[in-house]
Amino acid sequence: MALLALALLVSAAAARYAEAASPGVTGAALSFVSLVAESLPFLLAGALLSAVLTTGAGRRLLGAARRRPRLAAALAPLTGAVLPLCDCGLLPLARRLRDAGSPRAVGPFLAGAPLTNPIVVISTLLAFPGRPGMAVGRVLGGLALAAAVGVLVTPPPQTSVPEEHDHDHSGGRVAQELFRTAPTLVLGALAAAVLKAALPTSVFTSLASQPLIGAAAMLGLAVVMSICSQADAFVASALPVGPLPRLAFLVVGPALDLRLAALYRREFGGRWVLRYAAVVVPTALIVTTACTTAGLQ
Amino acid sequence: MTVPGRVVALAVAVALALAALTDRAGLLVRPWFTPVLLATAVLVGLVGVRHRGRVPVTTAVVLLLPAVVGAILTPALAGQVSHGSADTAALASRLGDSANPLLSGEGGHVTLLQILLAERQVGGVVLAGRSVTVEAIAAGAHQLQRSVIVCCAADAQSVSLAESGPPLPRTGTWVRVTGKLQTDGDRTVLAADAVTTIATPDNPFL
Repeated sequence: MALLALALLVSAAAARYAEAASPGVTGAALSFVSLVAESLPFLLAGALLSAVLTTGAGRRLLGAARRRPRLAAALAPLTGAVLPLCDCGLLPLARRLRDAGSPRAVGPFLAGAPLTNPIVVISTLLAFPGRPGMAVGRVLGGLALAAAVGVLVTPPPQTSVPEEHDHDHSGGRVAQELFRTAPTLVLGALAAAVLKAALPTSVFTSLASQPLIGAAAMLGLAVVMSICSQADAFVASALPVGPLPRLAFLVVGPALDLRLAALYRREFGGRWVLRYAAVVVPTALIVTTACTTAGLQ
Repeated sequence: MTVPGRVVALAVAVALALAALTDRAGLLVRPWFTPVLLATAVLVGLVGVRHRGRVPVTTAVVLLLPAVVGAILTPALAGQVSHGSADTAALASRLGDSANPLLSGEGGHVTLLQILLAERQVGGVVLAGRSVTVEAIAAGAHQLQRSVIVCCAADAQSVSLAESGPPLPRTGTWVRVTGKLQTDGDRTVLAADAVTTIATPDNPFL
């Protein structure tokens, strides 16, 4: 990763001073910086909300989630409706859920909440004018992913968390979040940007002539592109693919991409991420096929 | 080896503030997102000032890497980045877009996106004869192109418009083209009266 970063830096500098821009290098550098720029505010907003959960009402809410873990896991994906955060902003909240004794809710929360987010729903409606089926399919897909992850993926292991003292003001906790999670976000964005430059969109869209293969290819594209869930509908609408691959792109991206995988691995471990991905990917294929077959497109 | 976390947080805050307060943000995000970047800079600065601990040097280096790469990028390099062709129908409802003068019967300074959106909404025949001026990148002898972003540069897509008239300079050159919109079959073309080479705009994206 350090070598990738160094190569990107040197290439970008060389391109600038040689006045001979390599589109691949420039695209990777621009994607990298812009992914960090668009994600960092949401990560910090999630950290602030997470800090709020350590206060009176938040503690009571987390206490209730700990006492009724199954209900908490069932309701977790629906909380996206009142959390207008980008997908990466949900991570501090997911960790808070785990540390508060509700690890069972973590997977359903990460898989479903990004897709029940009202901003995501509205942007999908705007990107597909006159075709509300795409937004409906997206929400249903998120709920199906959450249910599958809740049933099939064992909760992430609980770690022993140092007790947070009352004098740990919320500002301190937000700073801790910055130093703990933001470096992983930066490295995840770097990996996504480099891979995106190496594997152009056309590599994936060329596979889209057959719907199921196309859907699998679009799952791959969503994972590589790592774009914000509140803007991905506008990109999906421009992809030269059919409704099924398009919906697959829209359902899987907010639940799993390279940037998110790096963040989830940092918090919940590589084995948990693999188990999570092993459920999310086939479930996304099945549910999006069912949705498009039912006319949601 | 460690460094004071306060220093690192303040450096990140300054980098974000500089990006938001200069034209640099235009290379990365849509204008409506710039205040969000500024608010993030303020938040990081506030929490950073109160931070007492130290962080590993590697953490500091990684956190500041985007700032260094961002400082290297130039509008000339950024303006040519695109990850595919845009579907203009989907771009009709972007957050923060102002009214399209072509839809109220006017012309003048417009963007390629406004021409393509108007063509889609009212048809090229309605637009025919309208005098316009656009700034774009030459993408061939008779093709104009701009990159459009919805949220950030990672989702950049290109839109293009055919030009008829004087040949455009070499691909990648920024030009200002003045002319009249015309129809050519089922597509709209810009019949150019004048083509001027211009410097790269501070914000190369639409």
